Amino acid sequence: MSGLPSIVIVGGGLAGWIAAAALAGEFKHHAGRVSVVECGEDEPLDLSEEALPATRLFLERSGIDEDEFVRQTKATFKLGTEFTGWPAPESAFFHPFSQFGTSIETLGFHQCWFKLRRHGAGAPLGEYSLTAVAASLGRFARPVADTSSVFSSFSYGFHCDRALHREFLRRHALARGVRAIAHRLVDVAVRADGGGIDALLLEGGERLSADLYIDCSGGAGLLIEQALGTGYEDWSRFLPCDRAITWSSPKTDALMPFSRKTAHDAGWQWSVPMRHRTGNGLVCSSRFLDTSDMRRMLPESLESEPRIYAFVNGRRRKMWSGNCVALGAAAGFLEPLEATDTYLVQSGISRLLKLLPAGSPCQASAEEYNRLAITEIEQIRDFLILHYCSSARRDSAFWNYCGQMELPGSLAARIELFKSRGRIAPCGGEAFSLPNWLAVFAGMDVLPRRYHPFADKIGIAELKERAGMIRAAIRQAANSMPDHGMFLARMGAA
Amino acid sequence: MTAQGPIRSIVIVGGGTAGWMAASALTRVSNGALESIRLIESPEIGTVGVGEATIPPMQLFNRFLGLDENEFVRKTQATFKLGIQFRDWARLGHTYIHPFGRYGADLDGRPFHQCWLRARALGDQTDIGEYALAAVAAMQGKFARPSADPRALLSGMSYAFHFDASLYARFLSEYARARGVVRLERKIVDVELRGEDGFIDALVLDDGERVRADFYIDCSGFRGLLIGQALKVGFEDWSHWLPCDRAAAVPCASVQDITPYTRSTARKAGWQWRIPLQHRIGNGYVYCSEFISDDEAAATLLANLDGEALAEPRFLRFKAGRRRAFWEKNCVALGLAGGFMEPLESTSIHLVQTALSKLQTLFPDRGFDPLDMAEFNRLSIYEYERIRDFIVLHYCATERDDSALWNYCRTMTIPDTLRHKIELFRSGGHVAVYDDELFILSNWLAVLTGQFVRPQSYDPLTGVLDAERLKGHLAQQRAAIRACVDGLASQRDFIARNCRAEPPV
Repeated sequence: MSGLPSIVIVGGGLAGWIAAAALAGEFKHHAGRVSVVECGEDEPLDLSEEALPATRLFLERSGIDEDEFVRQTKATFKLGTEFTGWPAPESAFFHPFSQFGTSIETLGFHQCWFKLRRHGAGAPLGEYSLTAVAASLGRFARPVADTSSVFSSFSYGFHCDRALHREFLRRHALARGVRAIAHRLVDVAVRADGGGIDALLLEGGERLSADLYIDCSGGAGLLIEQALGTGYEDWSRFLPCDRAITWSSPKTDALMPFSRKTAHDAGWQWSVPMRHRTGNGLVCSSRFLDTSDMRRMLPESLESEPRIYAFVNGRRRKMWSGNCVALGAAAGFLEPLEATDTYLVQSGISRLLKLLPAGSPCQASAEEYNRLAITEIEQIRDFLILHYCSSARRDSAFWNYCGQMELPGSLAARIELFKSRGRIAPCGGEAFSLPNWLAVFAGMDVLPRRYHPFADKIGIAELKERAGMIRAAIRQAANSMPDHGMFLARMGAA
Repeated sequence: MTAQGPIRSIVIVGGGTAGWMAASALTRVSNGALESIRLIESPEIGTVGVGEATIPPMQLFNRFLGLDENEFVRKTQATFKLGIQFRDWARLGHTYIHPFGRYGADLDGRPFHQCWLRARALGDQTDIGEYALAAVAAMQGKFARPSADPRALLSGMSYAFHFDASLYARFLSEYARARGVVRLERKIVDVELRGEDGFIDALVLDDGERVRADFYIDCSGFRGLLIGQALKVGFEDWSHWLPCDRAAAVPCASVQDITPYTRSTARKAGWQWRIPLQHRIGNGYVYCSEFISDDEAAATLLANLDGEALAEPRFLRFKAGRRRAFWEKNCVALGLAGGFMEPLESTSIHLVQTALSKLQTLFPDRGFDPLDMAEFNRLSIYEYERIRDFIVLHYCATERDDSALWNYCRTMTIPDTLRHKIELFRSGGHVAVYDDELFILSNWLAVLTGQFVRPQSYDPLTGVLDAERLKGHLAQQRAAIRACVDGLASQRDFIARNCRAEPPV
């Protein structure tokens, strides 16, 4: 009655090998039921070199030692992201992977902070975040489990070389029995009954069939779109960037435990610290900047002509259709502003493993998968749009557009509720929760018109004193953390 | 007109459980930020619930108020509750328990219930209840407070209470009045609305006094004196999914040891509750008037009591559904004024509690921002609908075909959200849980399996675990639970040692 399905993954890029590594971890000695059809030079291009805190759980579930992962992928630790030039050309904020402060008398810290700001008091929000302060000092330590400790209030992600990351997971999966197939995909046979894919036809004439197909072929969606015609929902009216160029520069002496995203006239630029080099990327909207101007923004020191990568922010109408599940850019694309691309693949394969069908896939599992996947990617979409639509920048046509564009109803409601009284409603998906939204709202200088009425139970003098104590405790804790580079060296990752 | 500034005064209408819970919680959260909280209760209106059953989050409410739990138990004739026993729901003669707390442990990262489903496919006949500490303890009449150490087996159990709702209202009334809440024992004869915006302006009492406040809380019960009669907020009728519309209630004498669980027995035209208290047992027959007369319902009820009836049956009328808005203008409706779902899963008190928690988060000022109301209503409606689905599951997933009610329920159209859950479970034993849903995996699992929703297959990753090892894992857990329950005291002894109530006067 129940047997493990045979699975073919199409695409040997990072997404394909994330999926294969996770399946290998769960299939154990049945990992031979999983094959990856690699596409050679046509592999989808991966952009981001960052991974969210959820990666830690993903590695653990896949049976991968985290320290080994850090050593092999030349990774550094990520405590958050610095956003420069986003609220206004000359201002910046930090989005940390941590909570802010602690509740004061049953009132969330953010409500107390709103009251402080209203009274012209209180420090910037980041001063109440352990990781924001630690990041600014270049410090890093792992959090502790004891929830009474200030060192339990945060998490961390990684900056890791995308090619090494892919190679590392590929080796891991192959060592556990996953099969890599080098023959190119030439055609896809579709079942006449509408049940999805019938077989893959490979170069050399091999015909490959499986119970379940995972499309990791990138934005083209060789199975989910080109074979099954699922359709794509275009979000470029909300997120107009559609071009990216990536390059490397020498590593920095002091390794920052955070990445930097710098806004420019028609998009933004990233800088991600790794142990052997710095990853850079330029993201633009072609509606507001043509490619020759884009090339002019690159550093002069670049030797070769870099490839321009085109994308469309949006999602597949269904991520699971028939016997085909799409992951990565095949399922949907969101620019790597908040490092969510790897996360979405990890979360997608984990969800698939929970709903894994025995034998032929059933409609109810697909419905459940799509329900959860759509909620998740739309929540992240809204979170990304917030970085653009709440900016005060009016110094270019691009920023003028962002300031006036229509918003998804879900985001418009969320912003209204926040502006009204600082409420951040619980949101679907696990990628970003209250502290993340708070960091960006506050960072973009969006503040509520009023704070919670019960914050008036606490006098402003007392509130200042207690917030001051929290801030001092956080600074002291951050100062006691080791230097980020030292921490890496100590674990053998120099 | 837009008023400015903080809310200074609140009037609560209705002094039942909902009213006094609201008064107690508001005095606790506002902590002096409000100038006055008054509660108007008519001496003529009694509390509806006789014996009230609850679910585990009620512990949090008591803790939030700073109540001593043993004192609460003593003062309200309460007993402990480890779950609900359902008799004759899936089919006549079949019984299952919906226990509070966890089922067994996962194996190699595979969910426990998938291990259990696979064991059944291998021929194992053990009931899922044998893997829940609360279910095994409940059947043996045992009780202990769970362990706080998550590694201990005893941490896997949770509990709630059965109590006398009138005594609880009195208990909270003392609490609230000691903290400054003013009680007006009067009748409301009229509700005056402001001409310009239709907000509640004043309540006119039977002696002509006009009571005014910035904010009104309607706890007046089914009739919804403020939210319905004055503000004309309509009602969304769910009786096509939950057709029961009446209840007959009667207390009876206890003749044996009090059981640490609620019992719900399905009957021809509805179901009967049995809620054991320290001094007596609360009973009631919830029925659909289309299929049975009041007299016949009362006769069925009286014929199925543990001991002698201690009063004449009282009759209640209701309709399943909810207000279209729970918060309208300057009035929030709590308890039965906001909506009604039959007490099959003991959610009434909980819905008051969570409404108060939402109100704490979204507490307004005199500007009454429509966004706050919209958010409160959105969250409340979502919560009601998720609980509704859980209750409907008990009715629609049945094999019973012995009466008109069960024939209707077995074949009725159900909400899409519930249909999706049933289909997903049926296909591979997966349980869909929506965001922030009150009832979580273990709850749904208890009722889905109890009502014979049978998965066609189980998780294939569980399928690759070694069969003997999997069986051993299950056997070991059954044995550990039995051994743990053997070491527990009976609920009778636990109560005698910790929280014995005085006999009623």
